[in-house]
Amino acid sequence: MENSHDKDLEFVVRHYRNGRLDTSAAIARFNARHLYRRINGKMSRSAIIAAVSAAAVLLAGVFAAVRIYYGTWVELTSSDRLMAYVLPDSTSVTLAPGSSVRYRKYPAFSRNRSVEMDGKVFFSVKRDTDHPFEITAGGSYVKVLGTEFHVELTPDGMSEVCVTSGKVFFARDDISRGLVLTEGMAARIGEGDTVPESIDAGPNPSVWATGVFEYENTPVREVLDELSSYYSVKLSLASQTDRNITGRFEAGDLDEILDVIGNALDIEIRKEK
Amino acid sequence: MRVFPSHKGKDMDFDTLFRYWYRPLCLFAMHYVDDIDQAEDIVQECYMVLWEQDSDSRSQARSRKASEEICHVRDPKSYLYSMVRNRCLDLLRKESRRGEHVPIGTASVPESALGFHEEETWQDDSLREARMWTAIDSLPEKCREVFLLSKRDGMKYCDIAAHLNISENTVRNQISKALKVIKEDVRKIVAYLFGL
Repeated sequence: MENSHDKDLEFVVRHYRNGRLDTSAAIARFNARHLYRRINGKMSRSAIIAAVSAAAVLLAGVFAAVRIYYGTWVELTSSDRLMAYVLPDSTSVTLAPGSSVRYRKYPAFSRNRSVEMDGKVFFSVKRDTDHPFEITAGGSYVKVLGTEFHVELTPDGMSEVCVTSGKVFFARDDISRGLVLTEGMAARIGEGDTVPESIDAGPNPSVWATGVFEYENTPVREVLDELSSYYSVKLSLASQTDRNITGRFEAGDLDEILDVIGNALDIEIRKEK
Repeated sequence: MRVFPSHKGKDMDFDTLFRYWYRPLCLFAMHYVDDIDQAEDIVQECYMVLWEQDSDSRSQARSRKASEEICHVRDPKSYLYSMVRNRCLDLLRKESRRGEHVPIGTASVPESALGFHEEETWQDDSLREARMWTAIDSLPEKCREVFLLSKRDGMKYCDIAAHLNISENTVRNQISKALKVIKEDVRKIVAYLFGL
Protein backbone atom coordinates (compact mmCIF):
# COMPACT_ATOMS: atom_id res chain seq x y z
CA MET A 1 0.00 0.00 0.00
CA GLU A 2 2.74 2.44 1.04
CA ASN A 3 4.75 1.52 -1.99
CA SER A 4 1.87 2.09 -4.42
CA HIS A 5 1.08 5.36 -2.66
CA ASP A 6 4.57 6.64 -3.37
CA LYS A 7 4.49 5.43 -6.95
CA ASP A 8 1.13 7.07 -7.58
CA LEU A 9 2.27 10.29 -5.95
CA GLU A 10 5.39 10.30 -8.08
CA PHE A 11 3.24 10.00 -11.18
CA VAL A 12 0.86 12.76 -10.10
CA VAL A 13 3.65 15.10 -9.09
CA ARG A 14 5.46 14.57 -12.36
CA HIS A 15 2.38 15.63 -14.34
CA TYR A 16 1.02 18.17 -11.94
CA ARG A 17 0.31 21.58 -13.39
CA ASN A 18 -1.25 24.24 -11.28
CA GLY A 19 -4.94 24.85 -12.00
CA ARG A 20 -5.21 22.09 -14.60
CA LEU A 21 -7.77 19.28 -14.73
CA ASP A 22 -10.33 21.80 -13.61
CA THR A 23 -13.59 19.87 -13.43
CA SER A 24 -15.84 22.93 -13.53
CA ALA A 25 -14.10 24.24 -16.63
CA ALA A 26 -14.42 20.79 -18.19
CA ILE A 27 -18.16 20.74 -17.49
CA ALA A 28 -18.55 24.16 -19.07
CA ARG A 29 -16.64 22.93 -22.10
CA PHE A 30 -18.74 19.78 -22.26
CA ASN A 31 -21.97 21.74 -22.09
CA ALA A 32 -20.86 24.11 -24.83
CA ARG A 33 -19.85 21.26 -27.13
CA HIS A 34 -22.94 19.29 -26.26
CA LEU A 35 -25.20 22.22 -27.16
CA TYR A 36 -23.34 22.73 -30.41
CA ARG A 37 -23.80 19.10 -31.37
CA ARG A 38 -27.46 19.15 -30.58
CA ILE A 39 -27.96 22.08 -32.87
CA ASN A 40 -25.85 20.58 -35.62
CA GLY A 41 -26.87 16.99 -35.57
CA LYS A 42 -29.08 14.78 -33.65
CA MET A 43 -32.32 16.72 -33.80
CA SER A 44 -35.60 15.54 -35.16
CA ARG A 45 -37.54 17.67 -37.64
CA SER A 46 -40.18 18.63 -35.14
CA ALA A 47 -37.54 19.50 -32.60
CA ILE A 48 -35.86 21.80 -35.13
CA ILE A 49 -39.17 23.48 -35.94
CA ALA A 50 -39.91 23.88 -32.24
CA ALA A 51 -36.43 25.25 -31.60
CA VAL A 52 -36.63 27.65 -34.51
CA SER A 53 -40.02 28.97 -33.52
CA ALA A 54 -38.91 29.29 -29.92
CA ALA A 55 -35.86 31.19 -31.12
CA ALA A 56 -38.08 33.41 -33.28
CA VAL A 57 -40.36 34.23 -30.35
CA LEU A 58 -37.35 34.96 -28.20
CA LEU A 59 -35.81 37.14 -30.89
CA ALA A 60 -39.06 39.07 -31.35
CA GLY A 61 -39.17 39.63 -27.61
CA VAL A 62 -35.61 40.86 -27.55
CA PHE A 63 -36.30 43.21 -30.44
CA ALA A 64 -39.36 44.60 -28.72
CA ALA A 65 -37.41 45.12 -25.52
CA VAL A 66 -34.58 46.78 -27.41
CA ARG A 67 -37.01 49.06 -29.23
CA ILE A 68 -38.69 50.08 -26.02
CA TYR A 69 -35.37 50.56 -24.31
CA TYR A 70 -33.68 52.54 -27.05
CA GLY A 71 -36.86 54.34 -28.02
CA THR A 72 -37.13 55.90 -24.61
CA TRP A 73 -35.96 59.43 -24.04
CA VAL A 74 -33.67 60.72 -21.42
CA GLU A 75 -34.57 64.16 -20.17
CA LEU A 76 -32.21 66.44 -18.32
CA THR A 77 -33.72 69.41 -16.51
CA SER A 78 -32.41 72.22 -14.37
CA SER A 79 -35.36 73.31 -12.17
CA ASP A 80 -34.41 76.67 -10.57
CA ARG A 81 -30.65 76.19 -10.60
CA LEU A 82 -27.89 76.12 -13.15
CA MET A 83 -27.19 72.47 -13.91
CA ALA A 84 -24.38 70.81 -15.85
CA TYR A 85 -24.57 67.35 -17.40
CA VAL A 86 -22.39 65.20 -19.60
CA LEU A 87 -24.12 63.36 -22.46
CA PRO A 88 -23.11 59.81 -23.48
CA ASP A 89 -20.85 61.17 -26.24
CA SER A 90 -18.92 63.32 -23.70
CA THR A 91 -20.62 66.50 -24.84
CA SER A 92 -21.26 68.64 -21.82
CA VAL A 93 -24.37 70.73 -21.46
CA THR A 94 -25.06 73.53 -19.02
CA LEU A 95 -28.72 74.28 -18.46
CA ALA A 96 -29.89 77.71 -17.36
CA PRO A 97 -32.66 77.57 -14.73
CA GLY A 98 -35.93 76.24 -16.15
CA SER A 99 -34.33 74.56 -19.17
CA SER A 100 -34.32 70.99 -20.45
CA VAL A 101 -32.51 68.73 -22.92
CA ARG A 102 -33.90 65.46 -24.26
CA TYR A 103 -32.16 62.71 -26.22
CA ARG A 104 -32.80 59.12 -27.18
CA LYS A 105 -31.23 56.52 -25.03
CA TYR A 106 -27.76 55.18 -25.77
CA PRO A 107 -26.67 53.78 -28.23
CA ALA A 108 -29.26 55.33 -30.52
CA PHE A 109 -27.70 58.59 -29.41
CA SER A 110 -24.16 57.64 -30.38
CA ARG A 111 -25.27 56.79 -33.92
CA ASN A 112 -27.32 59.90 -34.27
CA ARG A 113 -26.33 62.70 -31.95
CA SER A 114 -29.61 64.48 -31.88
CA VAL A 115 -31.14 66.36 -28.98
CA GLU A 116 -34.20 68.47 -28.33
CA MET A 117 -34.14 71.36 -25.94
CA ASP A 118 -36.09 74.09 -24.29
CA GLY A 119 -34.95 77.19 -22.42
CA LYS A 120 -31.30 78.22 -22.55
CA VAL A 121 -28.55 75.65 -22.87
CA PHE A 122 -24.81 75.93 -23.33
CA PHE A 123 -23.25 73.10 -25.32
CA SER A 124 -19.62 72.06 -25.35
CA VAL A 125 -19.84 69.51 -28.14
CA LYS A 126 -17.33 66.71 -28.31
CA ARG A 127 -15.80 66.77 -31.75
CA ASP A 128 -16.86 63.85 -33.97
CA THR A 129 -16.81 64.63 -37.68
CA ASP A 130 -18.62 61.39 -38.56
CA HIS A 131 -21.53 62.16 -36.31
CA PRO A 132 -22.70 65.77 -36.41
CA PHE A 133 -24.43 66.99 -33.32
CA GLU A 134 -27.95 68.24 -33.99
CA ILE A 135 -30.20 70.34 -31.84
CA THR A 136 -33.86 71.04 -32.35
CA ALA A 137 -35.10 73.96 -30.29
CA GLY A 138 -38.73 74.75 -31.00
CA GLY A 139 -38.79 75.97 -34.58
CA SER A 140 -35.04 76.10 -35.14
CA TYR A 141 -32.26 73.74 -36.01
CA VAL A 142 -28.58 73.77 -35.12
CA LYS A 143 -25.96 71.43 -36.50
CA VAL A 144 -22.37 71.32 -35.32
CA LEU A 145 -19.29 69.19 -35.45
CA GLY A 146 -17.41 70.11 -32.33
CA THR A 147 -17.64 73.47 -30.67
CA GLU A 148 -18.90 75.55 -27.78
CA PHE A 149 -22.02 77.67 -28.01
CA HIS A 150 -25.35 78.21 -26.41
CA VAL A 151 -28.88 78.05 -27.69
CA GLU A 152 -31.70 79.97 -26.11
CA LEU A 153 -35.36 79.49 -26.80
CA THR A 154 -37.26 82.48 -25.48
CA PRO A 155 -40.89 82.32 -24.38
CA ASP A 156 -41.96 84.36 -27.41
CA GLY A 157 -40.67 81.62 -29.76
CA MET A 158 -37.37 83.31 -30.58
CA SER A 159 -34.29 81.08 -30.86
CA GLU A 160 -30.87 82.55 -30.27
CA VAL A 161 -27.48 80.96 -30.85
CA CYS A 162 -24.24 82.38 -29.53
CA VAL A 163 -20.96 80.71 -30.47
CA THR A 164 -17.96 80.66 -28.11
CA SER A 165 -15.69 78.61 -30.34
CA GLY A 166 -15.84 76.46 -33.44
CA LYS A 167 -18.40 76.52 -36.22
CA VAL A 168 -22.18 76.15 -36.05
CA PHE A 169 -24.85 75.76 -38.70
CA PHE A 170 -28.08 77.51 -37.69
CA ALA A 171 -31.35 77.28 -39.63
CA ARG A 172 -35.12 76.86 -39.41
CA ASP A 173 -34.77 73.10 -39.93
CA ASP A 174 -32.33 70.63 -41.41
CA ILE A 175 -33.36 71.30 -45.03
CA SER A 176 -33.54 75.09 -44.94
CA ARG A 177 -30.95 77.65 -45.85
CA GLY A 178 -29.18 78.92 -42.78
CA LEU A 179 -26.24 80.79 -41.36
CA VAL A 180 -22.83 79.48 -40.49
CA LEU A 181 -21.71 81.08 -37.25
CA THR A 182 -18.14 81.11 -36.01
CA GLU A 183 -16.40 82.22 -32.84
CA GLY A 184 -17.96 85.29 -31.25
CA MET A 185 -20.92 85.34 -33.61
CA ALA A 186 -24.57 85.18 -32.66
CA ALA A 187 -27.86 84.99 -34.51
CA ARG A 188 -31.54 84.64 -33.83
CA ILE A 189 -34.57 83.37 -35.64
CA GLY A 190 -38.13 84.44 -34.89
CA GLU A 191 -41.31 82.52 -35.48
CA GLY A 192 -42.07 84.19 -38.82
CA ASP A 193 -38.53 84.13 -40.20
CA THR A 194 -37.22 81.63 -42.72
CA VAL A 195 -33.55 82.50 -42.23
CA PRO A 196 -31.80 83.56 -39.01
CA GLU A 197 -30.37 87.04 -38.72
CA SER A 198 -27.05 87.98 -37.17
CA ILE A 199 -27.12 89.87 -33.92
CA ASP A 200 -24.60 91.41 -31.60
CA ALA A 201 -24.76 89.46 -28.37
CA GLY A 202 -21.76 91.07 -26.69
CA PRO A 203 -18.29 89.62 -26.16
CA ASN A 204 -19.26 86.86 -23.71
CA PRO A 205 -22.85 85.78 -24.26
CA SER A 206 -22.24 82.40 -22.62
CA VAL A 207 -20.61 83.68 -19.44
CA TRP A 208 -23.63 82.44 -17.47
CA ALA A 209 -22.48 78.89 -18.31
CA THR A 210 -18.72 79.21 -18.75
CA GLY A 211 -18.17 81.55 -15.82
CA VAL A 212 -15.41 83.32 -17.75
CA PHE A 213 -15.19 86.81 -19.16
CA GLU A 214 -12.79 87.09 -22.03
CA TYR A 215 -11.96 90.35 -23.76
CA GLU A 216 -9.74 91.27 -26.61
CA ASN A 217 -9.32 94.94 -27.29
CA THR A 218 -12.86 95.50 -26.08
CA PRO A 219 -13.90 99.10 -25.31
CA VAL A 220 -14.34 99.66 -21.58
CA ARG A 221 -17.88 100.85 -22.21
CA GLU A 222 -18.83 97.47 -23.70
CA VAL A 223 -17.20 95.56 -20.86
CA LEU A 224 -19.11 97.56 -18.29
CA ASP A 225 -22.37 96.96 -20.17
CA GLU A 226 -21.80 93.25 -20.06
CA LEU A 227 -20.82 93.25 -16.39
CA SER A 228 -23.88 95.40 -15.64
CA SER A 229 -26.25 92.94 -17.16
CA TYR A 230 -24.50 89.89 -15.71
CA TYR A 231 -24.44 91.27 -12.15
CA SER A 232 -27.73 93.16 -12.45
CA VAL A 233 -26.19 96.49 -11.48
CA LYS A 234 -25.63 99.75 -13.29
CA LEU A 235 -21.99 100.54 -13.91
CA SER A 236 -20.74 103.77 -15.36
CA LEU A 237 -17.50 105.70 -15.82
CA ALA A 238 -16.71 108.80 -13.86
CA SER A 239 -15.05 110.23 -16.93
CA GLN A 240 -15.00 109.23 -20.59
CA THR A 241 -12.18 107.03 -21.84
CA ASP A 242 -11.32 105.41 -25.15
CA ARG A 243 -9.19 102.69 -23.65
CA ASN A 244 -9.72 99.03 -24.40
CA ILE A 245 -9.47 95.91 -22.27
CA THR A 246 -7.71 92.68 -23.17
CA GLY A 247 -7.78 89.85 -20.68
CA ARG A 248 -9.57 86.96 -19.14
CA PHE A 249 -11.07 86.69 -15.70
CA GLU A 250 -13.50 84.50 -13.89
CA ALA A 251 -16.93 85.69 -12.99
CA GLY A 252 -16.42 86.06 -9.24
CA ASP A 253 -16.77 88.96 -6.91
CA LEU A 254 -17.76 92.07 -8.89
CA ASP A 255 -15.99 94.57 -6.62
CA GLU A 256 -12.75 92.67 -7.04
CA ILE A 257 -13.16 92.70 -10.84
CA LEU A 258 -13.92 96.41 -10.84
CA ASP A 259 -10.89 97.04 -8.61
CA VAL A 260 -8.62 95.24 -11.04
CA ILE A 261 -10.00 97.02 -14.09
CA GLY A 262 -9.99 100.39 -12.33
CA ASN A 263 -6.39 100.02 -11.16
CA ALA A 264 -5.12 98.64 -14.45
CA LEU A 265 -6.60 101.43 -16.53
CA ASP A 266 -6.45 104.07 -13.85
CA ILE A 267 -10.12 104.90 -14.18
CA GLU A 268 -12.97 105.33 -11.74
CA ILE A 269 -16.00 103.11 -12.07
CA ARG A 270 -19.28 103.95 -10.39
CA LYS A 271 -21.71 101.31 -9.26
CA GLU A 272 -25.43 101.77 -8.62
CA LYS A 273 -27.87 99.11 -7.62
CA MET B 1 -32.48 14.91 -14.49
CA ARG B 2 -30.79 11.98 -16.13
CA VAL B 3 -29.85 9.21 -13.76
CA PHE B 4 -27.16 6.58 -14.20
CA PRO B 5 -26.73 3.48 -12.10
CA SER B 6 -23.55 3.53 -10.06
CA HIS B 7 -21.40 0.64 -9.02
CA LYS B 8 -22.54 0.77 -5.44
CA GLY B 9 -26.19 0.54 -6.31
CA LYS B 10 -26.94 4.20 -5.75
CA ASP B 11 -27.76 6.14 -8.88
CA MET B 12 -25.70 9.08 -10.09
CA ASP B 13 -26.94 11.80 -12.38
CA PHE B 14 -24.79 12.74 -15.32
CA ASP B 15 -23.43 15.86 -13.68
CA THR B 16 -22.26 13.91 -10.65
CA LEU B 17 -20.81 11.24 -12.90
CA PHE B 18 -18.84 13.96 -14.62
CA ARG B 19 -17.74 15.71 -11.44
CA TYR B 20 -16.76 12.52 -9.70
CA TRP B 21 -14.85 10.75 -12.42
CA TYR B 22 -13.50 13.51 -14.65
CA ARG B 23 -10.16 13.89 -12.89
CA PRO B 24 -9.60 10.18 -12.27
CA LEU B 25 -10.31 9.47 -15.93
CA CYS B 26 -7.91 12.19 -17.07
CA LEU B 27 -5.17 10.82 -14.85
CA PHE B 28 -5.94 7.33 -16.05
CA ALA B 29 -5.56 8.55 -19.63
CA MET B 30 -2.32 10.29 -18.78
CA HIS B 31 -0.78 6.95 -17.93
CA TYR B 32 -1.08 6.22 -21.63
CA VAL B 33 -0.79 9.48 -23.53
CA ASP B 34 1.47 11.39 -21.14
CA ASP B 35 -0.06 14.67 -22.28
CA ILE B 36 -2.56 16.58 -20.22
CA ASP B 37 -4.32 18.22 -23.19
CA GLN B 38 -4.75 14.97 -25.10
CA ALA B 39 -5.98 13.25 -21.95
CA GLU B 40 -8.60 15.91 -21.34
CA ASP B 41 -9.77 15.79 -24.96
CA ILE B 42 -10.18 12.03 -24.85
CA VAL B 43 -12.15 12.12 -21.60
CA GLN B 44 -14.41 14.85 -22.96
CA GLU B 45 -15.08 12.79 -26.06
CA CYS B 46 -15.95 9.71 -24.01
CA TYR B 47 -18.45 11.58 -21.85
CA MET B 48 -19.98 12.90 -25.05
CA VAL B 49 -20.35 9.38 -26.42
CA LEU B 50 -21.94 8.20 -23.20
CA TRP B 51 -24.40 11.07 -23.23
CA GLU B 52 -25.37 10.55 -26.83
CA GLN B 53 -25.74 6.79 -26.60
CA ASP B 54 -27.92 7.29 -23.62
CA SER B 55 -30.06 9.83 -25.49
CA ASP B 56 -30.46 7.41 -28.38
CA SER B 57 -31.50 4.54 -26.15
CA ARG B 58 -33.95 6.85 -24.46
CA SER B 59 -35.62 7.98 -27.63
CA GLN B 60 -35.85 4.36 -28.79
CA ALA B 61 -37.33 3.39 -25.46
CA ARG B 62 -39.84 6.19 -25.80
CA SER B 63 -40.85 5.08 -29.27
CA ARG B 64 -41.42 1.59 -27.95
CA LYS B 65 -43.63 3.18 -25.32
CA ALA B 66 -41.53 1.67 -22.57
CA SER B 67 -43.15 2.33 -19.25
CA GLU B 68 -39.85 2.81 -17.51
CA GLU B 69 -36.87 4.66 -18.81
CA ILE B 70 -33.78 2.64 -18.22
CA CYS B 71 -30.31 3.66 -19.11
CA HIS B 72 -28.81 1.02 -21.32
CA VAL B 73 -25.38 1.50 -19.86
CA ARG B 74 -25.33 -0.80 -16.86
CA ASP B 75 -22.09 0.44 -15.38
CA PRO B 76 -21.30 3.86 -16.85
CA LYS B 77 -18.08 4.21 -14.86
CA SER B 78 -16.50 1.02 -16.17
CA TYR B 79 -17.81 1.84 -19.59
CA LEU B 80 -16.05 5.22 -19.43
CA TYR B 81 -12.82 3.62 -18.28
CA SER B 82 -12.74 1.10 -21.09
CA MET B 83 -13.67 3.78 -23.64
CA VAL B 84 -10.88 6.05 -22.41
CA ARG B 85 -8.41 3.18 -22.48
CA ASN B 86 -9.35 2.16 -26.02
CA ARG B 87 -9.08 5.67 -27.31
CA CYS B 88 -5.71 6.17 -25.70
CA LEU B 89 -4.44 2.98 -27.28
CA ASP B 90 -5.85 4.04 -30.67
CA LEU B 91 -4.05 7.33 -30.37
CA LEU B 92 -0.77 5.68 -29.42
CA ARG B 93 -1.06 3.26 -32.30
CA LYS B 94 -1.70 6.09 -34.72
CA GLU B 95 1.24 8.08 -33.40
CA SER B 96 3.63 5.16 -33.46
CA ARG B 97 2.67 4.54 -37.10
CA ARG B 98 3.50 8.11 -37.85
CA GLY B 99 6.74 7.49 -36.00
CA GLU B 100 6.34 10.48 -33.70
CA HIS B 101 7.15 8.78 -30.45
CA VAL B 102 6.56 5.35 -29.06
CA PRO B 103 5.74 5.51 -25.39
CA ILE B 104 4.39 1.97 -25.16
CA GLY B 105 6.89 -0.15 -23.31
CA THR B 106 8.98 2.82 -22.34
CA ALA B 107 9.53 3.77 -18.75
CA SER B 108 6.96 6.56 -18.94
CA VAL B 109 4.10 4.05 -18.94
CA PRO B 110 3.82 2.07 -15.76
CA GLU B 111 2.87 -1.56 -16.04
CA SER B 112 -0.48 -0.98 -14.44
CA ALA B 113 -1.54 1.01 -17.45
CA LEU B 114 -0.84 -1.78 -19.86
CA GLY B 115 -3.60 -4.04 -18.69
CA PHE B 116 -1.78 -6.16 -16.15
CA HIS B 117 -4.16 -5.03 -13.48
CA GLU B 118 -7.81 -5.64 -13.08
CA GLU B 119 -10.32 -3.03 -14.07
CA GLU B 120 -11.22 -2.22 -10.46
CA THR B 121 -7.56 -1.45 -9.75
CA TRP B 122 -7.33 1.08 -12.54
CA GLN B 123 -10.32 2.84 -11.15
CA ASP B 124 -9.05 2.84 -7.60
CA ASP B 125 -5.55 3.92 -8.63
CA SER B 126 -6.74 6.81 -10.72
CA LEU B 127 -9.20 7.87 -8.05
CA ARG B 128 -6.35 7.98 -5.57
CA GLU B 129 -4.22 9.94 -8.01
CA ALA B 130 -7.07 12.38 -8.57
CA ARG B 131 -7.31 12.84 -4.85
CA MET B 132 -3.58 13.57 -4.69
CA TRP B 133 -3.95 16.11 -7.46
CA THR B 134 -6.75 17.80 -5.56
CA ALA B 135 -4.69 17.73 -2.38
CA ILE B 136 -1.77 19.43 -4.16
CA ASP B 137 -4.24 22.00 -5.51
CA SER B 138 -5.38 22.71 -1.99
CA LEU B 139 -1.90 23.30 -0.55
CA PRO B 140 -0.95 26.85 0.39
CA GLU B 141 0.87 28.45 -2.53
CA LYS B 142 4.31 28.64 -0.90
CA CYS B 143 4.05 25.10 0.40
CA ARG B 144 3.03 23.80 -3.03
CA GLU B 145 5.91 25.61 -4.67
CA VAL B 146 8.46 24.12 -2.32
CA PHE B 147 6.91 20.68 -2.66
CA LEU B 148 6.92 20.77 -6.48
CA LEU B 149 10.46 22.16 -6.68
CA SER B 150 11.63 19.23 -4.65
CA LYS B 151 9.50 16.32 -5.87
CA ARG B 152 8.81 17.33 -9.46
CA ASP B 153 11.86 19.34 -10.41
CA GLY B 154 14.26 17.30 -8.27
CA MET B 155 15.92 20.28 -6.60
CA LYS B 156 17.93 19.75 -3.45
CA TYR B 157 16.71 21.24 -0.17
CA CYS B 158 19.64 23.60 0.02
CA ASP B 159 19.04 24.82 -3.56
CA ILE B 160 15.34 25.43 -2.89
CA ALA B 161 16.25 27.31 0.28
CA ALA B 162 18.65 29.53 -1.66
CA HIS B 163 16.21 29.95 -4.55
CA LEU B 164 13.28 31.03 -2.36
CA ASN B 165 15.42 32.79 0.21
CA ILE B 166 14.16 30.68 3.10
CA SER B 167 15.90 28.37 5.54
CA GLU B 168 16.56 24.75 4.72
CA ASN B 169 14.59 23.81 7.80
CA THR B 170 11.52 25.60 6.42
CA VAL B 171 11.91 23.69 3.19
CA ARG B 172 11.96 20.42 5.09
CA ASN B 173 8.92 21.43 7.15
CA GLN B 174 6.90 22.55 4.13
CA ILE B 175 7.58 19.31 2.27
CA SER B 176 6.65 17.10 5.20
CA LYS B 177 3.54 19.20 5.71
CA ALA B 178 2.59 18.71 2.05
CA LEU B 179 3.18 14.98 2.23
CA LYS B 180 1.06 14.75 5.35
CA VAL B 181 -1.83 16.69 3.80
CA ILE B 182 -1.75 14.51 0.69
CA LYS B 183 -1.63 11.28 2.65
CA GLU B 184 -4.51 12.30 4.89
CA ASP B 185 -6.64 13.46 1.99
CA VAL B 186 -6.13 10.18 0.19
CA ARG B 187 -7.10 8.24 3.29
CA LYS B 188 -10.19 10.39 3.67
CA ILE B 189 -11.37 9.59 0.17
CA VAL B 190 -10.95 5.89 0.74
CA ALA B 191 -13.11 6.14 3.83
CA TYR B 192 -15.60 8.18 1.90
CA LEU B 193 -15.76 5.61 -0.88
CA PHE B 194 -16.62 2.83 1.51
CA GLY B 195 -19.30 4.95 3.02
CA LEU B 196 -20.92 5.55 -0.35
